[in-house]
Amino acid sequence: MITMIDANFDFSFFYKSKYSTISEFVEARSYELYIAAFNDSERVRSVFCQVNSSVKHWIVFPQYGYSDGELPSEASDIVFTFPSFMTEGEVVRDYIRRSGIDLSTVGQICIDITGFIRPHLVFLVRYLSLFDIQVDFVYSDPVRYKKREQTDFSSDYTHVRQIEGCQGVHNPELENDYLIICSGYDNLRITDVSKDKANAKKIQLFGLPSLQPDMYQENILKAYAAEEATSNGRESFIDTESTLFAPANDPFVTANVIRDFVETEQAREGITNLYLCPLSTKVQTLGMALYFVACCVNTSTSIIFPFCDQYSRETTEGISRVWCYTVDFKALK
Amino acid sequence: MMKNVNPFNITKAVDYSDAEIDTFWVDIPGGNGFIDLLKPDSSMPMMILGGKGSGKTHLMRYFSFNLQIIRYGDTLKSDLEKDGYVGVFLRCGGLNSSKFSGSNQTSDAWRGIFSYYFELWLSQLVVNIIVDISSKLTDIDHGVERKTCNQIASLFDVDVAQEFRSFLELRSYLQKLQRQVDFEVNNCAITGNKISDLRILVSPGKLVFGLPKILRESIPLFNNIQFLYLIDEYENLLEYQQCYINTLIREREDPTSFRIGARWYGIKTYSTYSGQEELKVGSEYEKVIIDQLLRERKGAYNEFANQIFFKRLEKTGYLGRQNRVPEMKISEYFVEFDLDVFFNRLATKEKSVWKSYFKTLRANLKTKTTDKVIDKIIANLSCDENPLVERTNVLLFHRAWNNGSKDLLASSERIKSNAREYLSNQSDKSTLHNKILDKFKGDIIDQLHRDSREKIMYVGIEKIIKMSAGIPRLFLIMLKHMYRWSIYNGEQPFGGTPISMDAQQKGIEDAMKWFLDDARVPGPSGRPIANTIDRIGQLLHEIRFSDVPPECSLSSFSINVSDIDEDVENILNYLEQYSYLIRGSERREKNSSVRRITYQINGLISPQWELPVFTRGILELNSSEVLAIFSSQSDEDFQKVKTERWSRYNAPFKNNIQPSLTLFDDNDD
Repeated sequence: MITMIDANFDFSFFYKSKYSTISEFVEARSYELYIAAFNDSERVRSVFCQVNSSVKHWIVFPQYGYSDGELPSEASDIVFTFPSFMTEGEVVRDYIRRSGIDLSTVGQICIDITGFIRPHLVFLVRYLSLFDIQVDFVYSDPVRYKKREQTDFSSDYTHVRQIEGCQGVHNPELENDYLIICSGYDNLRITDVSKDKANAKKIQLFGLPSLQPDMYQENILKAYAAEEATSNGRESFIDTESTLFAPANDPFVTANVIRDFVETEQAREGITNLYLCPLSTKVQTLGMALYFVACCVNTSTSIIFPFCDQYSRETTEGISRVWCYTVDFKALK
Repeated sequence: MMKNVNPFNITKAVDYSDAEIDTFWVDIPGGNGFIDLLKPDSSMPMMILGGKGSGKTHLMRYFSFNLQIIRYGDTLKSDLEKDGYVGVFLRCGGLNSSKFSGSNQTSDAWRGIFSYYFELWLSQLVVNIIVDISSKLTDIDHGVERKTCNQIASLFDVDVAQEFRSFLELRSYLQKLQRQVDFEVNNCAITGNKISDLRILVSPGKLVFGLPKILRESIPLFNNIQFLYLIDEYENLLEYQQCYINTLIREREDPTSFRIGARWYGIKTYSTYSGQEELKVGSEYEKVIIDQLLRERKGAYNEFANQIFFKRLEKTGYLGRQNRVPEMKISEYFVEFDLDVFFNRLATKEKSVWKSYFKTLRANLKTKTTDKVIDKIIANLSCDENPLVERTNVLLFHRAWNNGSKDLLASSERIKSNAREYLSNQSDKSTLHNKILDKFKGDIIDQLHRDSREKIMYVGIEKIIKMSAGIPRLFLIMLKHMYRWSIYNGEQPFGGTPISMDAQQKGIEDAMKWFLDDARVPGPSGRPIANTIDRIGQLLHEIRFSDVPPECSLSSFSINVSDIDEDVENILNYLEQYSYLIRGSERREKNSSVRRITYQINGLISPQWELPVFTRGILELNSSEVLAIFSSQSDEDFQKVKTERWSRYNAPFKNNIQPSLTLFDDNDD
């Protein structure tokens, strides 16, 4: 059976702030270091351009496929690129090494997670959890997805594996394994990960309230396409046994909802192995990663992910709000 | 009122509990059923391969110890001795084996760590079974247990005698060692540093073979028992990991044996670490391709599907309901296609809509003759009383045109006369129409569906079973979706009224969509493979619905063996192993030394290109077509060969080549 390190950790202890405009955010916050993942999204570029920070770093993930000519070229831009063969752990470690950041002494740090590739974000959170550090994570809500529920997010799927640093100590008995998927629009990836842990009971966590009112329906419509892989033979697609809900833009409630579910199942029948898979918003990905580092390290829990070679450079339109989530990693220990 | 439960909701063995696996077990007809296939007491290892959903996991779990004790009940000891084996079931997915790679370690280091980890993992499963047995039987007293544990301690390369004195302690000790490996491996993934603090305490194979040997020698209950390692989901292991287990298979020691379950495409290597030699089929292991075997035993598979169907109905309470018609046959639960009903539906449509073939014919004849003659030709070919005859007339007319008829009006008159002859005595097999309909009836009916913008019908239990291609899961998924649509339509499936054609059709469409999503090939091979199957489907479709299809019931093609280079072979292997294609026999061309291999499109995806489920004709692909379909990056080459074929079989017949007929009858094999 799985043993949680601190099953009672209350993630709502952390602060989150909402800003109606970029200017509001810019006026309220300033940093020593600002890190963002470069992509075509206006949400990412505008915030990066305007934010008050002594140093700003662009991380360019190879999965977006940018050529040298397409990279940021402002004189003040500090850009980090990486070869495509690097894993998420290698990218993050290489960035830390090349940037010369000392995470023990760095001052006010802010990371815009809007354009991050999910496994890299998860590893980064795991890596940061090794330090007594406070970090602001920023996320900008879109107005809509470009092609609504038909939006393509990832392609050239390769395989499912554990995200580095989030590999558990697993149990050979598998009869009560669980897979909790934060399910987004990318139904093929939901299928991929569900097939990989075919024997696990699948629990889907949906973003509700969603980022925009119509996104919940679009999300359900897409996730239903993966029903054969996720249903475990159940009669209905959404039911109280297999479905969880947490706000799409609240990592702390997301972490609490997962924590509560795991605690309940532990008490009920016990969990042999637990797998977590973040496929919804980056905010919920952050929530899942925080849950892992606070409650699951060295237990029979892993975060797994269906890896792809390519991701769309921009999938959304507009910017509606900016969120800032402050995480004190010292408190997670 | 009883709640409607979909009897086919569970389509995967993994979604069944151990008790449900036992409850829903259906054996294959003939002899000792699956026991004859898996031979659990035989020491010869076996690879059990098959398409996804072919029943590998169900089969392997059935022979696992968890199921054995359910079957045995209170007679564990005697039944175990009678069976002669203990099934140790291991899912490779649980190993999360991809973590034993990368992270700055050498391949030699990973090999050593993985083999140690696998040893610890598998041993825990054996010890779990021993703990379970010793809690149920009094045969193993503390003295025997302690002595056995001492012997097990001697399998380690260091002195661990003080670590465990009971099976429970042994289990905890193995767990502790496994945790140490996990910790080191996980840590190196965060830091990127090399693993340096891990001590490997036992050599490869020592526990896997040593544990059963000691148990057999120390505990009388196991004197004649084989420890059967049932290793499922082999496809989840990396190549070097499979190589390691292949080595264990080669160096197998009594009383152990292996049954390996894998998707067909899942065997990445047959190599071993014994001098890099490959495992030899026949002498070192047996190989069974389960869906192929079920397809070959067609009568047995039909009966098997029949039994699965009724077992599900029985266990979900449908057979016990009062409104059930007693002793209904499986076919009676499904509405069959009725040609008269279809004709009646056509009669309600505008003729200009469903007789669009006359409009096309008129346009094609414009360049050859006058409107007056065209009117006469169309009048000769028309047969309002029987759309099937009319469509056959059109086919015969196109054949005459293609064969170079000098007087098309005279040809149409002859066809009119032949049609009258047929209609006056439809049982006369010698009429031209009867000969054509004997071979092309299904194609002509499907052409009428297309002409009238009706969906081509894939209904009836015979078709449903055939479409499942020997893969029980495909059969169950189709039934699951049909049931859902049937309920949605307000029907009472399995409650006395058969499932409508609409529900069957929509259920099959849903199942097909699932298959196409699910059978995606990951990695860089994915796109070329998806392109290839689509091109094959498109070409067969174009030819099937042409004016003079050269073959009847066309959903198969053949390739000259000499056209199969390494790339083509790779793609064909993928398509076969992911169940897109079903490989048929290799045949020699008539009066030639050319050998051709035949493939059929999987029936479940036939609707994607409106192809038939029961196949007869075979399209012989020529070399340039093989190149354009399998190897070309651009779609232009494919469009070119498709257009060439199209113009050969469609008016005004530019290529004018007399078609030849090759027959490949599903019912013949």
